[in-house]
This record gives sequence, structure tokens and C-alpha cells, in this order.
Amino acid sequence: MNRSLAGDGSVLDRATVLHNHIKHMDGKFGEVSVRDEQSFKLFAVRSDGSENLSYKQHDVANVGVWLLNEGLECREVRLTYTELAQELVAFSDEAERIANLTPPSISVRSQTPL
Amino acid sequence: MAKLVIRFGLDSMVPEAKDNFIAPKLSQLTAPKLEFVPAERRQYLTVFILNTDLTLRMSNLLRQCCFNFIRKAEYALDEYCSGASALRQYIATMDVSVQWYFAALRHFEHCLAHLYEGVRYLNRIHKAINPDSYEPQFSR
Repeated sequence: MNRSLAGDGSVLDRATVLHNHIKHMDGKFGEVSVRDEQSFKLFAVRSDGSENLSYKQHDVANVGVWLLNEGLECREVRLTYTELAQELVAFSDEAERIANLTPPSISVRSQTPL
Repeated sequence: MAKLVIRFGLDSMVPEAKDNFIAPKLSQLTAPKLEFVPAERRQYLTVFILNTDLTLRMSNLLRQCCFNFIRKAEYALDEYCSGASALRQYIATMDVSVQWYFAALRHFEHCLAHLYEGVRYLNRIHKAINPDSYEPQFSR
């Protein structure tokens, strides 16, 4: 598994940002400046036919995270299905090593059995 | 000969309505590029439990963290597979219902939650084994 730190844009970093948007969805809804505007404005257009929106669609979305053809997305980041699947497989491999009590990344560092 | 087409349900909604009132970019979701992950895997938690005799040398904290990391890793992968399956169902029924879309979203949300919790347990495991040179795999 690759090391990851907050804000580095890695798979785990983006997965955590997505998770935060789910976990704190109510707070995220309240962050946007147009939170008190009527939903009617989503369909309002100017007389020339152009949209009357002063904000982006995802600012007023019903969900904190949504699905795309490529993967998952929130207001801040996108994570592809491939990236997520590869991270999960790496996670599963780590679980297998720990279940068999032979985790290389751990035993090499500690030089002692679990 | 004229053909009368009666539209009902979601196929009568314009793309903008779907995107604004259901979920962003929903109208563009037509062919998800899902990575295949085999659903059949070894049951690592069972393996760990069967190795109980060997884990008695572990501290309670380490055993608990290993146990739950394995659980979370299994659950995260299961939720991904369930999410992918539900998303394929949605594509097959997208003009009729969004039930499968939100089923898929729910599974992916749970997948991310299990992944996050799993990383926390993994950090704990690394810290318990090697406290001197401990660096978190991830912290936020």
C-alpha cells in the first residue's frame, strides 16, 4: 500500500475527502452561499435563453458524492473506479498477510514476530 | 403510419432536471468504466481466527486492530463489488427508476467508510509494532 498524506492528491487522500463529504454532508450543504435560495432558480433562464445560475450544479446537489462513468466525484475531488479497486485489492493483500501473520511491511521493520 | 409514444417515468425528464434534482451529471452516466474485482476471495478473517493460537503473543490492542483491519478490508471490497453490480443494474433500468443508482451510491459510500476505518486500524498496527519510527499511512 502506498503511503499517503493529507492533501497530497493520492488515492487515499481523495478517498478520504469523498468520505468526509459523505460523513459531513449536512455541514457541506450549508457551506455554499446560495443555500437559502429557492430551488426554482435552478430552472430559471434569462430572456436570451442563457442560464441564470450564478452557482455550479454541484453546489446545490442532493447528494454529497455522485457517480460518473469514470468514478466517484464530490465538489472537490474525483476518484476513478480503477483507482479505488486497485487500492481495495492492495488492502485485501495486506489483510491476507496479516491474517497469515506474515505481513512483510511490518515484519521487516520490526524484525520480530507478531 | 404514425407511432404514438407515451413517455413516463424518468425518460420523460430532461437531462438538466435529472442533473439538478436527482444527482449531478446523472444524465451523462450511461457506460460506467467499472474495474472488475473478483467477488470470490478467501475469508481472511476466518484465517486469522484459525491462527488464534499464534496470535496469543500479540498484545490485546494489536490483536484487536488486526482483527478489525481484516474485517474492514473485506467489507470495503464487498461493498465495491455490490456497488458495481448495482450500478450495472441501474444502467439496465435507467429509464424506469433510480433505485439502483442510489443502491450503488450507498454501497460505494459504505466502501469508502470501511476503507477509511481500515486505514485507521492499519495506522494503529504500524504504531503498535514500531512506535519509534511510526509514520501514519494516512492522517487527516
